Amino acid sequence: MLVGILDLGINNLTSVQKSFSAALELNDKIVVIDQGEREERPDLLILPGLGKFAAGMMALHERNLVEKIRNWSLQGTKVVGICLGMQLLGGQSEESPGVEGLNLINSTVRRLPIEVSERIPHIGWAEVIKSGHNKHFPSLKSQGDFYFVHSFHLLPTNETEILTTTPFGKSIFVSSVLSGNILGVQFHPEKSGAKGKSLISEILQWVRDES
Amino acid sequence: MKVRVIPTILTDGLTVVKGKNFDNWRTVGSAEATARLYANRDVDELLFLDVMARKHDSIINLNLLNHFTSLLDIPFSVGGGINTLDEAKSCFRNGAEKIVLGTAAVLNPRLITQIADVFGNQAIIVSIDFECDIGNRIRIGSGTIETDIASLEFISRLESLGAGEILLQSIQRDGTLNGMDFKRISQVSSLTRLPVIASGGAASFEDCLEAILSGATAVAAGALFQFTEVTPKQVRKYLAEQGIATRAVG
Repeated sequence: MLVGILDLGINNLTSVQKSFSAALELNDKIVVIDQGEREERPDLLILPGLGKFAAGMMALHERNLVEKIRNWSLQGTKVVGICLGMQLLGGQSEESPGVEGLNLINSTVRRLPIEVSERIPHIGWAEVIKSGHNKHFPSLKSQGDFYFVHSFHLLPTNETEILTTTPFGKSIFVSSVLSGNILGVQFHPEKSGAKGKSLISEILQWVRDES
Repeated sequence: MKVRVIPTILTDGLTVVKGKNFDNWRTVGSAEATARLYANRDVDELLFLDVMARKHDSIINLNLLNHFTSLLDIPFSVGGGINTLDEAKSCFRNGAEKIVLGTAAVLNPRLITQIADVFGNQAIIVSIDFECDIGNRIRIGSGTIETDIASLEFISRLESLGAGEILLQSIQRDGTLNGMDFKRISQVSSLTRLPVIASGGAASFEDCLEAILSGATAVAAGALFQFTEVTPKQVRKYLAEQGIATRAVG
């Protein structure tokens, strides 16, 4: 299996790369992709998070990666967006009005709602609550929190694509979404301890099972 | 939002140090051993501050940071001597989830906005180092220099400048195990809508609880975890028993 990690120049590349490398099997290979001229299509493409929506999209455009990612995903590459990476999978974001996302998931990106008991950014550990049917990722159904650090969240148009939600004050936001071969997680599996490690292994297994 | 218990690890770039009142640094262990220890203990988050960085006119040792990243699968923030967007970028690329701006944020508030425009406001913690009473001036340079900037006025501007979190540090209580400045924590927490990390003087479970009840969303402590038997996990358990939502470990 070939795993590609997108390097946008502004993300936390090291921790994502290290956590996925640790979960690889023999014959798996990991590459850092920082320009769209690359020919070999990865089986799994990781879009790490950190940063502002507009800055993330600009970095993808500068590296000629927007069309490349769309094409690869059409050809069967599994794409995983983490935090901002999840939001970039969507359409427009309230964080950067007028900037178009990758549009791999029919959705919009909203600011977290104002809640009396909450502060924004949402920083810390929180549970994920199973929403839709999910046979690939047992760790999204089991006990234990993931680590979040964000002010915005993705809202898919098609509710059946929601894997989990997370409570925020009296409301909830979508914390993970699966749309065909596109997976988005709002939390950081690479920073979520043993629980995050399990999810990373499950993601790699998902790619193996369906390749 | 679930509250966090955050061990503070102070480094001089090589070893873990601990001081009192932002001074009197002494070596208490190796940075690596400390990181390993906390990595195995389901800690919520770590705060690494390089207390010598400014003096050395540099940021935290990036090799050390990279090494931490390989040892840790939990989030950590990094501070000390960050003065530019490029320096912030180096910290993020080497694995920091958030960076801490202190002196630079006070002297050049535009830096906060500049970094937020690229990395988002959730990535920036602004450290407010204060001496005793309300209404006083902000201190910079690890507490050595008093500015003419009113601390409360500055704090109220932080959200619009692009900061994502406030690290509220009491210089007088730092390293003393003398209890926290709850009055100040409460005042700052009601002044801003940003999450507030309370730091300085935490000496007991009750202190941590009181800081949270005063409005903080996280408690950071150094001496408490370095010099007493108390562990972050025990604090979390105590808070949960008192009805405060804390991390559930799977």
